[in-house]
Amino acid sequence: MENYIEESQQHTSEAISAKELRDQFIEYVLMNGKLPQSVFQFMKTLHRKESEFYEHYNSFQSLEKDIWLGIFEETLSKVKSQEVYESYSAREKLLSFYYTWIEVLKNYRSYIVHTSKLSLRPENWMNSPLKGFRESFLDYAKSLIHEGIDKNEVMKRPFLSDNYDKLIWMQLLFVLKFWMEDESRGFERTDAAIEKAVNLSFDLMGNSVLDSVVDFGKFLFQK
Amino acid sequence: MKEQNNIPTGKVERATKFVQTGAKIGGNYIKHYAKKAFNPELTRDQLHEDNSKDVYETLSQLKGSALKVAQMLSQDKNMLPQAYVDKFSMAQYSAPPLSYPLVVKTFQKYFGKTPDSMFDTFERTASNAASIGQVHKATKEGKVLAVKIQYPGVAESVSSDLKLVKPFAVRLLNMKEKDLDMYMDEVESKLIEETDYELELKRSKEISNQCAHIKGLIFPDYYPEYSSKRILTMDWLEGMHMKEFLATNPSQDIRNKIGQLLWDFYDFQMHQLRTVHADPHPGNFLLRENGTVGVIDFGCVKEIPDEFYNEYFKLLNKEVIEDKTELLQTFERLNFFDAEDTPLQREIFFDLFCEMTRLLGQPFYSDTFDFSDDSYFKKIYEFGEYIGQVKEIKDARQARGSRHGIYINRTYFGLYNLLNQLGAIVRTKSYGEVTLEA
Repeated sequence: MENYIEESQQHTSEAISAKELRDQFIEYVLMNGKLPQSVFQFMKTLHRKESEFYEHYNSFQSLEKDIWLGIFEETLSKVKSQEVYESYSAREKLLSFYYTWIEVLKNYRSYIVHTSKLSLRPENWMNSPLKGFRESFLDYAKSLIHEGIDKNEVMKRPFLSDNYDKLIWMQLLFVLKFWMEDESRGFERTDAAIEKAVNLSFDLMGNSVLDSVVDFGKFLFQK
Repeated sequence: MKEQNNIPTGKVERATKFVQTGAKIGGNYIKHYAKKAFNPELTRDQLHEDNSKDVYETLSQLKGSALKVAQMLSQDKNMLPQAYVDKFSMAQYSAPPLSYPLVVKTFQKYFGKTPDSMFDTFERTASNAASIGQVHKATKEGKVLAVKIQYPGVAESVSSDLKLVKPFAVRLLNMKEKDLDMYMDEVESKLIEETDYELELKRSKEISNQCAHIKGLIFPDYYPEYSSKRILTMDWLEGMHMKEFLATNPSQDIRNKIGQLLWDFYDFQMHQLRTVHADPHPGNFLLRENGTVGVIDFGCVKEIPDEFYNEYFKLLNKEVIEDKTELLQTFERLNFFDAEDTPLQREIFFDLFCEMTRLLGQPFYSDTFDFSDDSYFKKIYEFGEYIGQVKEIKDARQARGSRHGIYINRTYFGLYNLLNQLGAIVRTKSYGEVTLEA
């Protein structure tokens, strides 16, 4: 603990970065088992002035949002740095995203599991720390869907196809929840869950039996 | 190949699958008897065909250990009517593949590298499916390699799958649930071993080194540096599966040559190594036109304990077969009798076991044996069907025979089947005869 204080004291002359703040925040939550009572108290443990916090965030909530967004951005840059990524189909891109995301999440597992009860409750969605992440992810999901439509992987359907991105977001929450509860070694069951969930969603979004049924129905009706 | 759409993972989902099949089979029986009421000539074949199709469809969606069980059932031809066998042998070849991102993920997990960076080339689509994994073709420094990758979570789901298969197997095999446990334990431990590719690599190397002197058998080299618990890398072997091979109309000479190789391979393992590649299904042998055989997949290996070996192989000795007291003791020691058997039951079972032993041991009693002789196999199936109808057996459904016998019998059935398909005439003089007389 002494080392810890010394170290932070050394830093007092330099300005604290947003990343450091996030890391310190996570550490605080994990070591104390709860959120800090106030920004003042949190900054005090870092031997810093409260005002330094506001240079980056205006509340813990905005900081937490940034943690999730940071995880998302880290994942995306990792995924896109793989050479093979560009040659993937939309389905494979999403699979690859999830697998990498789960890997990145591992570094935050304790924090996520600890704060999950707050984060995953639907009534908290609007203020939820996942909100910023959600918007960015929806953009990403949209881009995958457009790509899928261009490549004929995904069918354009009235009303439904405009909401595919939101369905994928719900799938992501499913994956997250599955992973948090997964007790298999190396989270192998989560891997299997991702595989199945993504395949199912793309099979549904793609040209499927449903379309043939609707088409046939229409045909009979028009006659 | 079509990518897999949905494999039920959850216990509940899987259970539902089995229930659905159970219901369907029930339906098939109703259909059968309804039809039969109007058409007494209707045979049970159509019924078997219907059942088998439903069973296969269910099992092929369950992948993993359920598929493995399907494979096992499909080999024990004498246990299942012909239609089951035909459908189940499809299960031995095709199962839907894993996505490439998951393959990449598995590599990163075990090697911290992508397959592209580990090999010079790596094919993104699997070239074939093994029951609990799939095989990708790769090259490295001029060598062509086969890289087997396991489905995630298989090891985890083996036990829970088997619990689900059990009630199903109880009906299918006509056996009491309690007595199936012994069988299931043995199967479960073998299946769990099969999910450990590190163990498989070790055993493959051992057995292939020890069998290297059998001319004409080709074993791949294994590469520990590209292997892990869930990834196994070996040389790519060329060759055809049985059905493909037979379609090329090989000469009787070549058939015999291959048959002899397979026979010698198993005989050597049984009697000299006392450790045996216990999975002789057609997918594990790559046959070539020049009469050589590539052997792959040492996932399922059975070690034969001495006390079992000594009793079991005594039954191949003609003198023992003739000697009633000796035979009785041997059966006793192999747990063929149950403590609760009445004297009458003992007598009935003794006669049955005698007949079974003679029948199954027949290839061993002469110097050469013609496995193309379908009448011999027909006799075995008929005997199997007959056993299923003997009232005493129906009433007393204790498991009989040692648990070690399960895999050894399965190995011999598998081998007989292969040789029968090949239509080979084989010199059956055994390595074992020497040790028996000593």
